[in-house]
Amino acid sequence: MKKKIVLSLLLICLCSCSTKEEVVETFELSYQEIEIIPGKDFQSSALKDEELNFMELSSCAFDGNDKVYTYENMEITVSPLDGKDIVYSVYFLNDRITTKEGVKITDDKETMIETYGENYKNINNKYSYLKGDVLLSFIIENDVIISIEYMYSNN
Amino acid sequence: MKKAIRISLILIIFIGCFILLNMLLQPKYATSLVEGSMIAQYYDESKDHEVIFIGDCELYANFSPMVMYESAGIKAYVRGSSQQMIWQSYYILKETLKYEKPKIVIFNINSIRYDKQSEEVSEAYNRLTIDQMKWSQEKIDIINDSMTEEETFLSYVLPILRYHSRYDKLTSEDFEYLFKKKHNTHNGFLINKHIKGVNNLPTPKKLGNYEFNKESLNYLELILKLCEENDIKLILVKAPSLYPHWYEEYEQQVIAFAEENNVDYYNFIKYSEEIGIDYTTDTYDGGLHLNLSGATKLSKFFANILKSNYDLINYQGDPIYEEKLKIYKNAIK
Repeated sequence: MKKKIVLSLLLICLCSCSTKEEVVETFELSYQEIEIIPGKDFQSSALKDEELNFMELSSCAFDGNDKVYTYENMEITVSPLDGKDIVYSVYFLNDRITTKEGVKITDDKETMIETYGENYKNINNKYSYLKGDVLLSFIIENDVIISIEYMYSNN
Repeated sequence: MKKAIRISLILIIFIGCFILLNMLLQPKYATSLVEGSMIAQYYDESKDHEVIFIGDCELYANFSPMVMYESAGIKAYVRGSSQQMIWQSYYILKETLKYEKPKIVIFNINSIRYDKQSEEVSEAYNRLTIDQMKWSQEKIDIINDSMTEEETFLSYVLPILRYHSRYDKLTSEDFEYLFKKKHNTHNGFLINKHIKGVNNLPTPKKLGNYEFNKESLNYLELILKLCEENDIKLILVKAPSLYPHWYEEYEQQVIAFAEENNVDYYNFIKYSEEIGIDYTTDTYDGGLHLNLSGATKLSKFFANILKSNYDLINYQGDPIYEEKLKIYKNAIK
């Protein structure tokens, strides 16, 4: 009986171990109820009606084009990676869009720190927070946020 | 004695096979990714150019030396490569000056925006510029100055360390060009006849700081110093490529540098109307690079500036260049 209990427990343990996926938290944002996660697939069709401009940027030498989708409030750059088109960056164009945590262009530096903390890297007025493999950067001028960008960082 | 000979023979065969394997596995850049072969094509050229261009893709795609020869008799060569960083341009120039002393060096200033931490710095582009350089002190220096954290110096010495996994990707090109090079350019100019006009351009992103990095500026000063020491006139240009965006803050810094150092500077974006560039038909990738039609217009325009303002000899009628021109005309048909 004891043996059976131990074996059953072991089996439960093994099952739970094999099905448990490691979840890495990253920055992400939601636009028109569509989840946009840097480093993940981008379904441009989901935002087709919102699209204002589209252009393809070729690299100087290598195959595969970056695709830039411009919407009213943001620009999404999609890059080919391992045969898939992934969101490489999301650039805010104005203050009518906020991060998932509610920060927008024109907010002050204090709001950024209150929301994301002080664990940032500041290079030339660009304050960057890394979460998983996504970099969220704010450019601050005179204590005011003038630029917000999400970027996939696979380093 | 016999044993020593046998060991020597085995050693020679082993080293021979190892060298051959290294050569075989290294990309040849002959029919695909041809940008990787540009730096090496220069070695086979006659070294009597009066004008040498140094810089990134904005040169090899936009300036055609054969057009400059045809219209003004200028002997020019473009020592360009993809994403050639300013520190790489310095060493390429240094290497070039070992072979010849041109009257004018033209440097495309675009790359000064980048520094060694820029995301644009990558091993892939480093390889395109460095892999086929001849071994010299300049090659050693360019490797040391260009390597990303993931790269090792040894992988440039022994390409097999980097390219060993290419064994199952070898194509006929790898065997055909094992001992020879393919000349894809015309004095460093890469012909592209495709047309993809400018439709939209991405929004220029705001930067935290528009000032050029001190280290990059230092390389520009080194380029200038090298030219001065060799009695060469340095000219700075900004090719009329519309992306990546050339910020006004950059422009002002280049103008200041040029004025301070008595260097001529031509920003061809500002001249694009005068040149006659039609961005709907004269680029092959939506404004990043000019196509053959655009490059022809720009090269004629610049050749005229060089002819009128600088002391250059008109070499029209030179038998070697006439032959080159014939080949070029055939290629652009």
